[in-house]
Amino acid sequence: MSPPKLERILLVEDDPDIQFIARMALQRISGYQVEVCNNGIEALEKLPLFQPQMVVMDMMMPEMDGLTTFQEMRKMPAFAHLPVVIMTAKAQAHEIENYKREGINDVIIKPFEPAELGKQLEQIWQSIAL
Amino acid sequence: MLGSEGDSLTHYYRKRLYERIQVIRPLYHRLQRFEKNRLMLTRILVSLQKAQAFPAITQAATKALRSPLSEWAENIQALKTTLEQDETLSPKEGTELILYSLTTLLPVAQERETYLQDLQSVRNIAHTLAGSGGTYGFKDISQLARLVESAEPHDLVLALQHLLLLLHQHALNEQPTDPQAILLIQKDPDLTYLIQHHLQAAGLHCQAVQSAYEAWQEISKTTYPVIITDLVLPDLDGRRLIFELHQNPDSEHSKIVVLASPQQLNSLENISVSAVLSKPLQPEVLVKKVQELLQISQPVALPLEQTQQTGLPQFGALQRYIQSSLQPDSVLLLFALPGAPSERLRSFTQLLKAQINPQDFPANYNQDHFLLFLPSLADAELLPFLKGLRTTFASVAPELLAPQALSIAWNKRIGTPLESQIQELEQNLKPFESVVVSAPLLEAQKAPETQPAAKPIRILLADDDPLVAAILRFRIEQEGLQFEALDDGEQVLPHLSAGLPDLLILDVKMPGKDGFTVLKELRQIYSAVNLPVMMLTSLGNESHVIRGLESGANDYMQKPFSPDELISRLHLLLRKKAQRSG
Repeated sequence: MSPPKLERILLVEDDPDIQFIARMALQRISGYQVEVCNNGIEALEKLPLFQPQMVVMDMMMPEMDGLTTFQEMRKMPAFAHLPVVIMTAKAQAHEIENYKREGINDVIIKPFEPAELGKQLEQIWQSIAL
Repeated sequence: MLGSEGDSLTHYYRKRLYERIQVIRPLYHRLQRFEKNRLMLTRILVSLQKAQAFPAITQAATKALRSPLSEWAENIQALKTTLEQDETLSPKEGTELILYSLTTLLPVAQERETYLQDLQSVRNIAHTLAGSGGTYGFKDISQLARLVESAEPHDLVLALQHLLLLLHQHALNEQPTDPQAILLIQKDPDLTYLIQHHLQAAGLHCQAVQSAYEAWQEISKTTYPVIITDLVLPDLDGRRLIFELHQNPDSEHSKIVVLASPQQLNSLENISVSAVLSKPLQPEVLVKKVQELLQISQPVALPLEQTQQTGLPQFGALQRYIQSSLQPDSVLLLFALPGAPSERLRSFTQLLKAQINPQDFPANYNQDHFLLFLPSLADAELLPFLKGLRTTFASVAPELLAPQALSIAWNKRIGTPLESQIQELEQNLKPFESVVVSAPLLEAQKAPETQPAAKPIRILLADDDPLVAAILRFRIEQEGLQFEALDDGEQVLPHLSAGLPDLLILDVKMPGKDGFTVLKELRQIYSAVNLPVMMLTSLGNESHVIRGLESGANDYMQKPFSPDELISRLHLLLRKKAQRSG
């Protein structure tokens, strides 16, 4: 019994340059359906409409940072188990440890390699499904 | 990789960098002004601290100095009051001057809110750039941006200046600006017309303004490689303008030409300019001078391509950069700091910055390498400079271990023979565990005019051990050389007939034919001058070494070998070959 295919990704990121390249990497190269939000508040609004299978989120954002957004998300029963991957430059071993303890599924270190992003997410998806 | 998408992404990002610069620039100027004024305030306070005859003043000054930024305004106001009210002070010379300075500088302390906001904005932008730079393949931007993001307020301005310069190098401005544009600052319309007319006739575009203020606005819009200015301007002394132009990151690389009357020539003694032309002006001389300056000032910003694996500039790109950048006496230093924590690298960087002028600093940061290029350093100055570095390490930061390795390369020098210089350097650079002085960078390309496209240097390896091949590929390509590998002795000769490499590295033990047989066969056709061969033999087998040399090997290395040693020997062989055939 194979897990469902990863198709719908919600990207939460405030830097338009990263939005641009991540959308290019995920949509054009890896063929995912990608919805982009500029901040956490927008993400919380878009979740029920878009129904993503995975959320990829920047850590440092104005208005509402990644961690708070994540915690808010977990309070919503429909998204309590939605896989969440954060992107951050602060990725020392103990910091990653902290994120995982909070319940975040995985971490992508910034700067990331755009050509690898899709593959990385696919791997994370597989490991969660197992 | 992303293929053709990658190119358009790079293009997109470089355009975005141009927009970033427009945002950062005013922030930079405000921060710079604030820091400058704060420094002046600090100096005044420090000098007041020394007024021991007046304890009240000493106390007030000390209090102000030690207070956090938020209390500066209040404490300096208190100090001012003390100064004004102390009657014993009133006749003293200088009190009024100090009061006046404090009064003019006080607003700075009150601008704290703006300052903190600017600081935060700059840090936010730096954070964003640190994230996006690396993703778009600009590691150097990422690294420098991270430095800005984490810099202490007093270091931030300098770090930001370097970041701006780097952004300038990468940014793409698609608005049509003439790269050869010249700015003329001249209030006399007749002279302006004359100069414009002559430059135009020589195919050079010249933008003219009448005052220093207009010039200032103009350079914030366009980068001018050459600026021609009169000494007499309606709003500012020409010498002052030149000084300011040197300070401004928008024009610090511009070549400045001054037009002066014979009487004014004396007043130019301490001013650094590229050329002084005496009035009455001979337009032909000016045109010739400007053309000369444009040629050397062209590579103001040349991005260094970097290798994927190390983030260091590619050797070829570096060579082009150095070649286009200048004088025969430039020096390149490469410090290796393997495993250095970023903290240490940062302090090391700062030490180096303190040692040299920022304009000599198209340096490159990497996790454990630090590259420094000095556009110009005379023979006689190199050693003192390096000794000075050592002293700095010892005295300023004893806790900072000296970097482990230092590589030095310079352009071709005439005079002292290279070998004796190397010896002297090695003796004088004890704190570095190893000092590698490489061949003059440009020797291989003696006449770039006659050989416009230098042929890439090709190294061929015949060895069946994939690990050796992988290591050598990495190191040799890092040197900017082309690398090919064969894993079978039988393939060597057919491969050679297709095109001779510049050097062959030959392993003794191989499937197909062994190294000795291959060597013997190829020496029938190719001489040791045409095709240098380096043999790889296994350790402890001296007979192999002798047999190899007898069969016509130019050099040998025993396995396991140090890649660094192999590389330096490889360069030596290549150099010998170039000398003999050239």
